[in-house]
Amino acid sequence: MNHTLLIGYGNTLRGDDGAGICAAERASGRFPGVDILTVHELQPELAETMSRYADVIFLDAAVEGSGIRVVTLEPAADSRPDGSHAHSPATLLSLCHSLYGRVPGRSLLIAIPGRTFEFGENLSPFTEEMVEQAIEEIGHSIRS
Amino acid sequence: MSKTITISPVTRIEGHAKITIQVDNQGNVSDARFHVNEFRGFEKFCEGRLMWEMGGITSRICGICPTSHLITSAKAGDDILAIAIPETAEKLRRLITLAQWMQSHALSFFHLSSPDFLLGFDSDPAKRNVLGLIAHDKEFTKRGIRLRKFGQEIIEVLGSRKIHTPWAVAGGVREPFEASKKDYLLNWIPEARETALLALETLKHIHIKFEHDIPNFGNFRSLFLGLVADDGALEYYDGKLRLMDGAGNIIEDKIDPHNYHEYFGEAVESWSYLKFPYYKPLGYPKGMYRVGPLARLNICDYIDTPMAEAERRIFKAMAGDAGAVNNSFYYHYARLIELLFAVEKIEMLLNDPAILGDNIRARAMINREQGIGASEAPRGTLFHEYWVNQDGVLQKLNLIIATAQNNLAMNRTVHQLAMQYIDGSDITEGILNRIEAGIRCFDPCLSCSTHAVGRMPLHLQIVDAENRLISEIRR
Repeated sequence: MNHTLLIGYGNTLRGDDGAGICAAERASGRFPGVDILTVHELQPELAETMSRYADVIFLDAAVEGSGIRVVTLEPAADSRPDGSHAHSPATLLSLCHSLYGRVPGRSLLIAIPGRTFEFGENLSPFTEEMVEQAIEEIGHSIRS
Repeated sequence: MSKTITISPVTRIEGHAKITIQVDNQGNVSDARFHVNEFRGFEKFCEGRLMWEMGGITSRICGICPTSHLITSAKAGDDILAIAIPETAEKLRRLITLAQWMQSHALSFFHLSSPDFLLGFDSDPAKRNVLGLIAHDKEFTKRGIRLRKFGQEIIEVLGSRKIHTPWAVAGGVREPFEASKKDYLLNWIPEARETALLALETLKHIHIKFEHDIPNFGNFRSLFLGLVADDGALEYYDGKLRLMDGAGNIIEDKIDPHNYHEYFGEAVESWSYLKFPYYKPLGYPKGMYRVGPLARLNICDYIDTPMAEAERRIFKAMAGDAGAVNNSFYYHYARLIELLFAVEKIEMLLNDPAILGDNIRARAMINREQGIGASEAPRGTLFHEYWVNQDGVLQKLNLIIATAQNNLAMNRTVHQLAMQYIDGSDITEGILNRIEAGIRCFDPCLSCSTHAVGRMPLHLQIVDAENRLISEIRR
């Protein structure tokens, strides 16, 4: 069983929406035993990868909020999937459970607040700061 | 009182749309329309960008077939540079195009359409989705997800990421194929082939199960358009355009994609953002044509891989005296034959030593002020046409997308299904789902076709002859 999988996701062409990917990339190499994935959206085939990890941490931008939020995730109870090809973390956990018979022991979402989601590849100064805090939070969240 | 039924948004397709069905005072369907109501305007905001950026920008039109936009954009760039790209680059572009077909076709069959087929058109809509499918047949669903994953893995190996890779450029590709990845990808082939065959076998049972429904699923004559190779083989990356009529007669052949303007026009309607391409000599709307798997399998003379060719012969035999397979339900069959073809062809390309070459990019200055790229995206023929100045800055562009080219046929399909199933009395969820499923035969990508972004839940409205809303269903 692999240790921890860090998944940063979002659209890097929509300003602060790329915060999750930015945080994951900056976290690369800083946490031994942690594998890092960056994706544009959460696709169903990720479930298989996730099922092989003890813990999974998602990093995503949040439209609202003034600080980092850490949410413990459970598999989605609703049987309706989110869409045809992009899923929420909770639905992916549900797919993990249904298809592969296990979910990671602990699944967290670290939500990074954004301020601007217009076209552009840069983060706002506020979200830049939040990304650094998110990386600190990753350190607190990884179980030894 | 006459009334109109609206399905909006339509579900399990890519993008936002609605269907309206108008019912007259006698309860008969008088009109049915498939409306696409999203707009993003890539053709406008790309003006002023550098030609070199277009692959990266236009691939963002879509999360399902970005690779098709990338490749077609690169081909338009090749045309502007007026160069032939190296053999290795072309074979690698072919490889990634097939990977795109594989992942998209797998998604369409296993993820989007199988819930209807395996659980039934009238099954509980809350369970008629991929999670319901898992409960029904976990192994089948798992195989479908893994097949799509294989396509994504190839794209990632070549382009460093699964979607929106900027790997193909005017003149070739940015990075060579890593020889160390060849065996890793080849190891997927037996499982992928087995899954493609399983899908075909499953679909043949589905043909029997729904034999009473199938004749109503967009069963009409139309023209069929697609690219074919010089020798008439199924083509996916290059070739010339061929147009066949619904009786199987080839009415245009070896059309250079550069000349598509001469043959095809684009009409607009006030009630949809999706344009209506048509064949000019027959005018609008008589010049309706279909593109995509059904068209490609109808127009090609053969497939150059053995297993897919054997299936193509069975497919063609279904046309019988009609000369062409005209029923839109058989898009699914054609799609799965192409899926099998993709697996076979990917194996051939991975074993081709030419893909390991390091001459992957030709370089040149801007040599033409206009360039056209054409390729076969999973859903049909895709055209990118760019006009640039001497610095390569876009002055104008035109994108003709597969789903738009099926627009007239999708409307005809909705109308046919509505006529068959709606009699003015209570309309069941199962009937609505059949109408949606008619659209799903075409596997439309509305994000691409309107150059917009989004996904597509269902919205159905019923209105009277004066367009007053009588009832409405959303899900």
